[in-house]
Amino acid sequence: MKKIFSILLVGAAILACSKEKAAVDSPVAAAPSDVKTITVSLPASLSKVAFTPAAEPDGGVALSWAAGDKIRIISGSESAVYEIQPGFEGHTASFSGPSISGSSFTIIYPADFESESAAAAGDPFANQVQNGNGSTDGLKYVAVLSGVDSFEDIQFNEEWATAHGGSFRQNGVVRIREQFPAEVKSVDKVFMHVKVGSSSMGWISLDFPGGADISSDHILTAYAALPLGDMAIPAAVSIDLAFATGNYDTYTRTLSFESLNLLAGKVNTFNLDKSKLTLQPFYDGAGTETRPYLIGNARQLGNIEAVLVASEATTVNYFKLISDIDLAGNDWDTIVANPYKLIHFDGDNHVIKNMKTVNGGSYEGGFIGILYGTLKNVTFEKVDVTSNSNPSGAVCCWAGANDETTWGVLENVHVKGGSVTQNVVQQMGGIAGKARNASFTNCSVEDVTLTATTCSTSTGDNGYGGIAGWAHTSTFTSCEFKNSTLNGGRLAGGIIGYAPTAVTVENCLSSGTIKAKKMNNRNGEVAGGIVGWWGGTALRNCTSTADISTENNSAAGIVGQVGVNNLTVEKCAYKGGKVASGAHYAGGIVAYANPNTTVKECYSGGTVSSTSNHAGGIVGFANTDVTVKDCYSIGSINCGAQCGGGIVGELSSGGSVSNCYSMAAIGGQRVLGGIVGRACNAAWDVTVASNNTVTACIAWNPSIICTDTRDANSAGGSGTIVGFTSVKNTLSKGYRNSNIDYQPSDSEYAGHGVDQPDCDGTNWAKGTTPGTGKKYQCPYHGTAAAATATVTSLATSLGWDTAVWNLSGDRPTLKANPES
Amino acid sequence: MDLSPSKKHYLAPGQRMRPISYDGNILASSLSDMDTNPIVDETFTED
Repeated sequence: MKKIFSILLVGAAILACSKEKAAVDSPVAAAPSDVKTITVSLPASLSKVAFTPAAEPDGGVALSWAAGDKIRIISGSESAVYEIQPGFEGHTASFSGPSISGSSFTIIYPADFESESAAAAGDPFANQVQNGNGSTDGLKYVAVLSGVDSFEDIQFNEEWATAHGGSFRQNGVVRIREQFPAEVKSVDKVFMHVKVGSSSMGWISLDFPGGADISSDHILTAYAALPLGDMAIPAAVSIDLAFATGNYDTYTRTLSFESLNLLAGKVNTFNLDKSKLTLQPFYDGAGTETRPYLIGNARQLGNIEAVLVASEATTVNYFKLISDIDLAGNDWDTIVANPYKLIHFDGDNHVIKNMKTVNGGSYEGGFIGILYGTLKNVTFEKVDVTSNSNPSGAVCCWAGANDETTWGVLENVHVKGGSVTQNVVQQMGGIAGKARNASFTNCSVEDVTLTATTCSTSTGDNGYGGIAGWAHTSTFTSCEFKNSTLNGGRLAGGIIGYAPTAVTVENCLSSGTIKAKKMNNRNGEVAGGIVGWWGGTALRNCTSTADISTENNSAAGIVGQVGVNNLTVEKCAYKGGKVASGAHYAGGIVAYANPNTTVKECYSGGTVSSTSNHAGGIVGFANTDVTVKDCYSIGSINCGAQCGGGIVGELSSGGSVSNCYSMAAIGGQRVLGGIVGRACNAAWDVTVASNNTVTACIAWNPSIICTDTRDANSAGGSGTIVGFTSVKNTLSKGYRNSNIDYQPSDSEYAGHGVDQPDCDGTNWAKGTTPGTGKKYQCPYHGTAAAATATVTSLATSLGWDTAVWNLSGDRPTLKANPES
Repeated sequence: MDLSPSKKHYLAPGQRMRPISYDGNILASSLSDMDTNPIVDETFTED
């Protein structure tokens, strides 16, 4: 059977409505299946004949000629276009065109059609447009007189055609008058699909740009043109109707007929009562990859959970936003499907605003409880998320699954404005509370306040992170914690609070404020601009400008504590801000470094301070065998007690600091060094074989000033390169700023330092061995640079790697992480 | 003589003058109105 028309439907305006999960019976079964999108519409030039509806509600339409109308006359191979002449009125007009001869003519209106077959095609009628409720402006007229013997005094009707030996065909009109529930104020689109059994006979879609206003009586009157000829279907036939409203709701109903005759030359009318309309759970779609459920309002957003609950465990359920959605005035009930189901949610770069969660049970406290699958391209604005039972994040409580079979994938997901509050002893993150087998790519949290109100009392470590509180076997790429505040407890980080294993963090940023507070008698410690506690795989190319503070130990610009041995932190920068440890361990990059940590190609431009020991421009406390290479600091370091260094505060044993420089002003009570504070096995016995190496470093600090004024027999000594060193260290190729303001505790040694030859661990330099009554006087000063020297000239003379360093300015910068 | 482009009565290069009259036929044509063909006629629910 020939198809009689072709397709349409889909979307425009925005109007959020309330979430009404209870109103949905079976979203999957009830979803419309025939709604499609096509951009082509009936050309405006196709017909100019005007349709005027009769005054009474159920009348027909009057036709009248319009300026610019043209008729085509065909005779054999000749084809001529006749143009309407001035003076036309209503039904009658005169047309003028070139001479044409013959005995049998085909007369086509409009002339745009070059043949009768072209005029009979149905496709141009698939997509139509009307100007508003009841408008006939978009109706098109088509008529063909075929085989007539004259083209004088033409009448477009059957009688005239018969009288002139020919036949006549014209098109008709459909008028749908549909009543809607009172809450429907406008209609954007109508979709009409004719089917015989399951076979499609064709469709018409009708678009109302700007919407058809039905606010007065909630009745839509929609006119659409039919293709040429009668549409007679002598069989059981159904018509699926779909109406898209101004707030993206879709109403449907199906009409059934034993046969159907849509007549040409008639207005075929449908007066339809609202009682038989069905409100669909989604705007459109089938939940598949090619036809995701389309979501345009809050009610539809709330229907996701019902789909997941009804889903098979292995089915991926696809959703896509088609509009921004404002949830203001409606509490958001976190999407929870237990057991958890697979979801693919594409926000299509839309915004979900004013999401306020109500904690009602397990894994409620964000947009979705547990994310198995993908969530992407969406921004949550002005969130108000509170958790009273589980890990909490604005987007999800958990991302990913423990068994590694199902990942949580978050791409281009942003949280902007609002707050997340964790009221129980659980993790908290700006996006996810916990992440295991999850990936975060191009995700951000901006202008958000994250607050934990409690913390575990003993050994249970939770984690509070700008993106994720806790992460295991996960990746974080190009994520940002921006201008936000994290009020966490123990283990707090701008991206991750606690990352125990198998985590990669790359190209991430943080700014704002990050705090680890003491709560529940649990020390507020271990905070970093990027990660609080780090046991992951790779941490590189990250930058922070946040203010980071702890009420107890370990605060740093990048990592509070590298807690697993043999890890590397590289190409990271703390570009500004303040690091403040409330006790020990403060670092521009790392506060506390476990054995065999490597920190390379990093720099700090921030202010680093501890209220007690161990403050370093790069590393606060370096456990055994830590390597710091190709790093520099240009901010300031203040050590509340002892062991403050421009690069490392405390270098325990077996460590190495090479090719580094510091321009930081160093302050503290005692044991301060331009590069390293103390390098003596974290103790005071200078004869212990600590086996550290400090080589090819440049102390370009403006000042090293101790506030403890006791002499070197009572207070630990300081030095321009190393403050207090074991005699069993290798100290070589060190340069210091010749004008450095060097004020150690023991004023006897104040000045600019004294030159010392290199020491290989066996030949302790003359004049620096602790003397009688000066047991803590054991510094390393290296060599004073010439007055004309620059850091760059010294670095060049020391052979610093030009693949790592940019040596073009007065001082070197890192190629991997430029300052600007 | 003002040959500025704003003077529209001057033809652009290559533009031809449209003939004032030509030997075309004049014909009259008429249309018919459409009345209704009820397909479904339900009574609207009173609000």
